[in-house]
Amino acid sequence: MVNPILLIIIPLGTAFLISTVAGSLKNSTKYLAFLALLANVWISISLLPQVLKHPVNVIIAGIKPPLGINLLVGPMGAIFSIIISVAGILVLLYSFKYIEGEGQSKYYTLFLLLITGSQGMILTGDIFNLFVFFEILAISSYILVGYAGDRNGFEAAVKYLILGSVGSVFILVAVALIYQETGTLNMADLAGKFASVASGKKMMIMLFFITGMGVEAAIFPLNSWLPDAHSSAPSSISAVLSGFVIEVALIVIIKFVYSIFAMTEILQYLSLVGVITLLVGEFAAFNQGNIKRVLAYSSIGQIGLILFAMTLNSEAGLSAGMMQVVNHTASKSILFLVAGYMIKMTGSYQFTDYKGIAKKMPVSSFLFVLGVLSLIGVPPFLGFFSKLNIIIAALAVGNTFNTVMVFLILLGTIIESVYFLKILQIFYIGDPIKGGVKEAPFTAVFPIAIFAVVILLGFLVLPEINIYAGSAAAELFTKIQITQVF
Amino acid sequence: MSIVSGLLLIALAGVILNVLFYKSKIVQKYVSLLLFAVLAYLSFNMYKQVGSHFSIPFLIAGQSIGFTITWLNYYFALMITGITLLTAIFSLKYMEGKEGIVHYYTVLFMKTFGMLGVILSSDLITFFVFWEIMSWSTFSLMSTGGKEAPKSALKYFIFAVTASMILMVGVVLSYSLFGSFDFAVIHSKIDSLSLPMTGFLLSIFIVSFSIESAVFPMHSWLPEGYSNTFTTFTAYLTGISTRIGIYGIILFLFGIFGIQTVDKLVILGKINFRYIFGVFAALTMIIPTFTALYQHDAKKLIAWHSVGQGGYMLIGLASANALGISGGILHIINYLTYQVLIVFAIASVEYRTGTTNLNKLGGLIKKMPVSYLALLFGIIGLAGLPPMNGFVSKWFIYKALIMSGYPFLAIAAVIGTIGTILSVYKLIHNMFLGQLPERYNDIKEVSFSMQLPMWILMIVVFGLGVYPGLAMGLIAKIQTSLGLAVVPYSLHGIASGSGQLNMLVITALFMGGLAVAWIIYLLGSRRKHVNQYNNYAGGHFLNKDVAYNFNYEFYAAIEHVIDPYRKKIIERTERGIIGLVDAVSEYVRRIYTGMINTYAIYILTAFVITIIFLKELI
Amino acid sequence: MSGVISISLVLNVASSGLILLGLYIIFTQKNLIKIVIGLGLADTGVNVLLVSTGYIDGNTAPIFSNSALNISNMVDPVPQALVLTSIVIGFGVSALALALIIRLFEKTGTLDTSKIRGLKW
Repeated sequence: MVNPILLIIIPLGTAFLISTVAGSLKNSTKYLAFLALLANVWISISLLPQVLKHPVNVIIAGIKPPLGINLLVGPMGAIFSIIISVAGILVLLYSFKYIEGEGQSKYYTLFLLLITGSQGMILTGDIFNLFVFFEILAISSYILVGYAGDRNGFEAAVKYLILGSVGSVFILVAVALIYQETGTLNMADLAGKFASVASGKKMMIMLFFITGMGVEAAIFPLNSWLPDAHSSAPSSISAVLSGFVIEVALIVIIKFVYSIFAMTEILQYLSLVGVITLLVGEFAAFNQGNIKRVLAYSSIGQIGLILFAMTLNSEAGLSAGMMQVVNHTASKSILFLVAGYMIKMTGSYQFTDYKGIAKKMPVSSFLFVLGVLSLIGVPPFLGFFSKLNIIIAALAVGNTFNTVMVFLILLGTIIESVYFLKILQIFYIGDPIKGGVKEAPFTAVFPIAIFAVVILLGFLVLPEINIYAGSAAAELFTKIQITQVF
Repeated sequence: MSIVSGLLLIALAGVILNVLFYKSKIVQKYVSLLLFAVLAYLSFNMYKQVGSHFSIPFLIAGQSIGFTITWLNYYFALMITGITLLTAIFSLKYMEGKEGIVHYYTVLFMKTFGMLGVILSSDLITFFVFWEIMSWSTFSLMSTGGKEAPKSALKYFIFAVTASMILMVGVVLSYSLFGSFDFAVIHSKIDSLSLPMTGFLLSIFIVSFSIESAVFPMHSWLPEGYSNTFTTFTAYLTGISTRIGIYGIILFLFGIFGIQTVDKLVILGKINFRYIFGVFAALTMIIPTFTALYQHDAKKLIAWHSVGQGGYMLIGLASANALGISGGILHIINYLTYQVLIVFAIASVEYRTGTTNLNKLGGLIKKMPVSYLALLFGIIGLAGLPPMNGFVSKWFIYKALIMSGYPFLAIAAVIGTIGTILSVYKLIHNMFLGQLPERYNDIKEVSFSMQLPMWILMIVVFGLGVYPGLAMGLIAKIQTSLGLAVVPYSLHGIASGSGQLNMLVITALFMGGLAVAWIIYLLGSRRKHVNQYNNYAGGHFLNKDVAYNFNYEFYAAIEHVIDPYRKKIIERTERGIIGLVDAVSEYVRRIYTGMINTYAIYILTAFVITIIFLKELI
Repeated sequence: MSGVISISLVLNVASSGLILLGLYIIFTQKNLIKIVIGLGLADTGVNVLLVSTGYIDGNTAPIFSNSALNISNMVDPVPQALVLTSIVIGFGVSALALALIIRLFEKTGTLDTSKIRGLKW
């Protein structure tokens, strides 16, 4: 029996350890961070079979809920933990060479805090703790966005900070109202008590919560910070932010809507918002010349798709959405990480400057192609099966609304494939660019290749993925987690 | 192990070998060739396993998926692997020393893999997966081989991805309607569907395949895309790749939906689904063929025919009687052979002269006699004249249209044929006849490895012309397996009935005519052999300085008629759509103004709008 | 307690007033420092709201200074604990915001949000 609290404590403790020993160990602190995340990966993976049988409820400091604080881990939480730890460790490995210069231990401290925040948001069973972890995540990502220390980085960080803080005001209002109405902050307890709240108040609380969390989850039009932050951050951080941070916030919203607030009336509205988010993201990316902004807008599009899938009010939709999260994490990380070294090598953010770069950086370019293919949803990549499942789930509902939405999603896909293909053609066609463009180092290519293996060979373990995603979906949809805790 | 898995694994092995040994010329050339030969051999032997099924060992959405061998896909597999082998032989010399040769062979295998997968699949998921592999590999190779290639490949891809998205809706919709992806299951349940839904579903599939097979008005990607890439790849694309869309149409129209179901989709009187389909086929036949007339580039010209000829196949299928369907199916292989033959001849000329511009070539007949003969055989086939194979299938189609009471469509087919004859004449004249520009004095015939595929195809084009029964046997099996009536065929054509045709007699008559002409020629007055520059035209003597290129801008009148419409309607529509996406994109981007205050206001706005939207819930 | 104006009402008005004032500043002011002040106000407003949720008229502080005190006569201590955390977080965010703004000012030479629009579209 592993204790999920270690998932939070290890990175948090290591973060503080790194900042204390940074003076003597200098840049070697990265290995400490690596070890911490390695432990995280192992714990989260060994947690999964456990939670599939029964959700794990960890009571902290000996005080039983609803008064005390607890962690509540179901299949959904465990899967997200795995996503966070695995993506985290791979990006960390990438950062080894990518992050240069003195004072790197700051980067690793903040990176671990970011992991702490994400894990905490997923695992916690207490609403106020959720807020605290949200702030840990947010503050560390504000700083990391500006880590490069350039003008754009600071501008993006300031914008992200201000909008994120406005969002946290909304969340805190929701927390206060929840406490006022129900007198509890424990999620499981709340799930039972929330039904008795007057419906108008319920809706207001939920709106405050969704609006606040939606800022971090990049739902349109709350996502205006995203293109700036994701495109100006160091590429490793962009990969993390796009890869799991926005998904973590989104899954918190979904968890609240389904199993805590149990307000399915709002789902159709949310799925409409999801499709709008998708279209806005894809259209905004279409004429974009800055490669990282393209990827950032594409993340908006993808988050819209995930939101749509998860708000279909069906288990199939939730499970397809989970698959799409995995796919997006892997493929978007590939794209951002590859783009990071291309920017570093060429010194330009404009992808039109990358003509024929594939001849100089063949492996990276090839991995980029794989990422694009999976993101668009080309068989036999993982992205195809998740998109297929999403559409199956949408059409299974069988109303006109969803059919129209499916056509709009496919329109988005067409636009997405066109702008990505323009980039691919530039990579592969034309004379190789001049200058000292070299292949990215092994510490960068290796983690990217692991991501690529996930999306490329994902279809071999499709039944297993379906089982895990399905049980996560069942957890949210049928509230198993809530009923089994007490 | 089943032949299916053998075929697919070998094609995949080709991809992997070419990627792994990207430095080895031996792998690229000879190992690839060997693998293509094995593929052809295996697919030839597939007839032994017709009816067998091969499952992929995992489930998708709880459904088992896999492949099956039928007579229809045997027919297509033969064509695919056969033409791939010939292309590979031809490419030995043609691609030598060219940039991107690894990419070329890799994609050739990938594309073969995709096409074989599509035709062998027994369910919608497998079909879709391989369909995507196919169009992505096409896109990838189409992007290379010329300056304009990336742009036109992107254009192709926009069409292809639209087609596959529509197809995806069809796949998922079928699954939610029938609870299965399997063709056989869908076929057995198709009658339980309401008529509007049947029509909707069928339209989704047919539209998607029509885009891939370049049916008017969704054809504009083809001429550009096909003519800007490597010429050997043009042969491959125009020969078989486009026709995979026709495979889809045959499969869905006859195999899955069944002609009885399709014929229930009546709109008004005689105007039913099939008829509308036929009208589009007729338009496909006429307009692109006449557009081909005034092309100045041999590859473009033949690419336009690739669109036009698809119309014949489709119109044959649309007639839905035994003769028409067998004509349509027969036309696929006939078209494949003569079209690839023509493109090979063009490629040979391009290989030696470096150009495919018809206004710059001429008089190559004595320099490249084999290529000339190849082109001659090819264009006779394309024009649908005896004794080549194109005549037989076109004859079937005309006859079928008249018999099933579509006289207008039959007239359209004849008009299309006239356009074809006019344009192929221009093709052969401007390349091989007339005066040889001086710069081509040192041109030699291409080497044997490039001649060999042409010889083989010449034999097939002529052989299938005289012995259409060779192909008709297989086509009869296909028709039987699809539950359709069979044409009473014989080795030389149609045995009996109203469509009686004996190609042996026709060929004999034709040869007899030739012999008579030859005798008259020999008996005639004495001839003087003159130098090609010792000539005159329009009362003027011609010399080396005055080029004799009499059909330069020859069909300008037709160009004046068609081009404005093409430019006005199709190109403007396409530009309009792209412009719309561009404009929307520009406006959407401006949502992200860069002002923090605006961004903060967005949050409040979202909050307020949500309240307004959901006020009845509050 | 009798009286027209109860303490909870005052708290509610004060908290919503502070939040709205803070948001208004964020929406309209172009100076980054002022925006941070607006954030601080909104934060304070939320903190007041949090405290008010646990407030019960006439009850004592939740401290067992006297054994005669009854739990049922105490205000809810949980929100006060929450507010403490929230104040700390708010303090941290404000400090970080100001630090980032200083660095941004070093790079751009301005605090005007309408001029800091290097990233857009």
